[in-house]
Amino acid sequence: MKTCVPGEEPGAEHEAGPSAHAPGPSARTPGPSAHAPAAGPGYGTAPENGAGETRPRQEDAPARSRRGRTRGRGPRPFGLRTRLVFAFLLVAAVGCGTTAALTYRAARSAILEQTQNTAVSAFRQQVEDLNISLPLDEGSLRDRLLHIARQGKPRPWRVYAEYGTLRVSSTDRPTSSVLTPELRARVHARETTPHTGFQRVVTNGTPYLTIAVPAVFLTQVGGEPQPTGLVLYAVMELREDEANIEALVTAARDGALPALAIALIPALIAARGVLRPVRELRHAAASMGRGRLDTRIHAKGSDELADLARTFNESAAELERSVTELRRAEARARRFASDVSHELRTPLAGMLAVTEVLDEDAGSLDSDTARAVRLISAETVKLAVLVEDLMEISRFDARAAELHTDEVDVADCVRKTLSGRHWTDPEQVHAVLGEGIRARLDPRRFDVVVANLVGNALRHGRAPVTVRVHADGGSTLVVQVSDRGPGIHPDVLPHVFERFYKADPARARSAGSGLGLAITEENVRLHGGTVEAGNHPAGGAVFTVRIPL
Amino acid sequence: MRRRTALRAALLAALPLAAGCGIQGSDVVEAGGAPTVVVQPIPESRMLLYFLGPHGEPMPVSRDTDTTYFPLPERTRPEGGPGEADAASAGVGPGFESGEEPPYGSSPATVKVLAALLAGPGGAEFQAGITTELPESGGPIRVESEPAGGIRLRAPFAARELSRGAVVQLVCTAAYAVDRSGTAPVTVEGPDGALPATTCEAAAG
Repeated sequence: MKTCVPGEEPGAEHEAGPSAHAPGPSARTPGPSAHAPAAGPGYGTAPENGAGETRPRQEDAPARSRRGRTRGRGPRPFGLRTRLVFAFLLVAAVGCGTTAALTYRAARSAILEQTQNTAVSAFRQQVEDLNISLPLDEGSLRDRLLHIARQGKPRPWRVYAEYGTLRVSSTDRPTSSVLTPELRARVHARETTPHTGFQRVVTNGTPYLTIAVPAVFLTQVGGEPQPTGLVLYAVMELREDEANIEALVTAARDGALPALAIALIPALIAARGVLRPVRELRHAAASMGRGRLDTRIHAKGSDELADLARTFNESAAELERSVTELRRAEARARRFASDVSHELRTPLAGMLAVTEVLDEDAGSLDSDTARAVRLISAETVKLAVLVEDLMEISRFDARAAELHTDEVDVADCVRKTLSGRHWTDPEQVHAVLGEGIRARLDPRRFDVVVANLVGNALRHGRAPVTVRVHADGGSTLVVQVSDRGPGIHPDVLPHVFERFYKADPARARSAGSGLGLAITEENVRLHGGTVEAGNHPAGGAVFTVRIPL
Repeated sequence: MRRRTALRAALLAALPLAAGCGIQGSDVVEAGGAPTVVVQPIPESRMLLYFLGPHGEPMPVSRDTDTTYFPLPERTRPEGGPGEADAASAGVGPGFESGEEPPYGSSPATVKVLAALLAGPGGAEFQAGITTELPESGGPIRVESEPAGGIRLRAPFAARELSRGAVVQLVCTAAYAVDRSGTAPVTVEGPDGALPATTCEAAAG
């Protein structure tokens, strides 16, 4: 029954011609492109590499959305760049901070030591120049203190003296609150030989240097010094030193901040150096995934990333080689099937003509010969159907099948199909057609779909076969073909659309070519629709075709 | 987690910078010996009397042997006949520079110095809060030379009842009177007995 469609196709007849003229398979232009016109004016104009185009186009949509997602992502919060910059800044900060801290400490103690040493030795010198008589009286002591107070080095100092109960100073207050008891106790200690002592004191936020000097005298030249009981104190403000030290902090900060800013530059350069190859690699991998196996990365340098790029390139080349090999093998196999069916077609056309004549004359032959002749005639027809189906399938495989849509009335189409096959007996085929449904369909392919499904139902199910056509929600065209047969066994259901699938292996011969449902499925898919097989709860198989309107 | 560790490390690195800013106070630092002053008058023409400061520390007082007021010269005269001559000779020191060292006990200058000590602090010394812990003495202190070296002071008051400060006063004054190095061991003896021999340094320490 399927003969009706491919057989009736005018292009098939045309095509037999040129192909027949070909001297042999070896001389023929290789590739299905040679066969492309064979499908008739409407079909197979797509070149072979069109197949290569179709695949990427199909996968383009998800790929693009994926790419869009990755590109759309801005700078990641914890991306490589952020981490690198952070690490660089951290290293720079630690380096700057440590250096600044150490320098600051060293400089601070140098400044303080300088001041302290100068002050202590100057004060000692001033005391050593003293010429006193014991006991001391307040007046002369005060004169001497005023003299010493004028000699403050490196900064001015205030001088205090303690002698017995006398408290004398160069200022208007006889004692200073800055002097600590520890310092006093140290210079008054009787256990050890008297020593000069100093102490830094911070009072009310002002740093002071306090120096305590016990005056000793010699009882004889070269003898042990003996304490006179006189202790002199000097109090010196360290504001100026503090200012110097603060200047150090400012300098350290002013040095560290530009260093941090400068550290950003190598950080960004390093990040770029890493990220650019990574980005290239990602684009290349995405491009490979989209099927462009000739994608290569420009690998330069000798670092690990360049090695990675080279490895990627080698892998890509290897992959491309393998895939090309596979595609070539697949193409060869397809072309072989197509070639074989093509080659069979011409002799078959001749045989069909002969068997037709023989069939007509069979009546005049004796019965055995007549049966044999009819058998040959029937089998030849089947063979022709098989060959046509094979060619159709190989066009699908080569993706040479094209859709030539036209706005048609679906009910009209189905009616035409049924009447074309002489399925006009309502006992056999009962049509329930929703009127006025218009759809953009390829009339020839839709005809094949309906004819194959009805033919299949008649062949494997039982009459009456019902053909229902309706629009589902105005967006989907639904064609349903059901029969009253035993239905399809659940084990078989998933395989009914496979090529040459036999539901019952024991029944090797069937009336059909074994390709009918496979061709149906391909045609429906070409329309962007689906076809599914199922069983009606009330019995019988139901095939449902859904094509978007 | 790792980021927190890194942050901590950065803070730790910045800590010395933040914590150590400015000038901090310090402990008392010793910076060499005490400066030596010149005490008037020159050692050759002075005597050193050890009194006590307000906290009981020994306070040396230097008096000119020529002009010093001797409150008790008359009392010492009966003991040493050539008292006035000795006072003059004390001006050039108790025989150190002359080369011929007179026995300690015979030094009348020492007796005079001790007499001056017993007399107590004078006007300027009072002003400075200088005191003495020696008791009022009825008589002079006699000075004897010890055979084993050093001197023995025979005081007319009870030696064992003397305060530590008073002993320091006696020992140091006597030691520096007989010898300017002040290293001679001194034994203080009273009617109630003698204290062990000690040096000025040991007594003051």
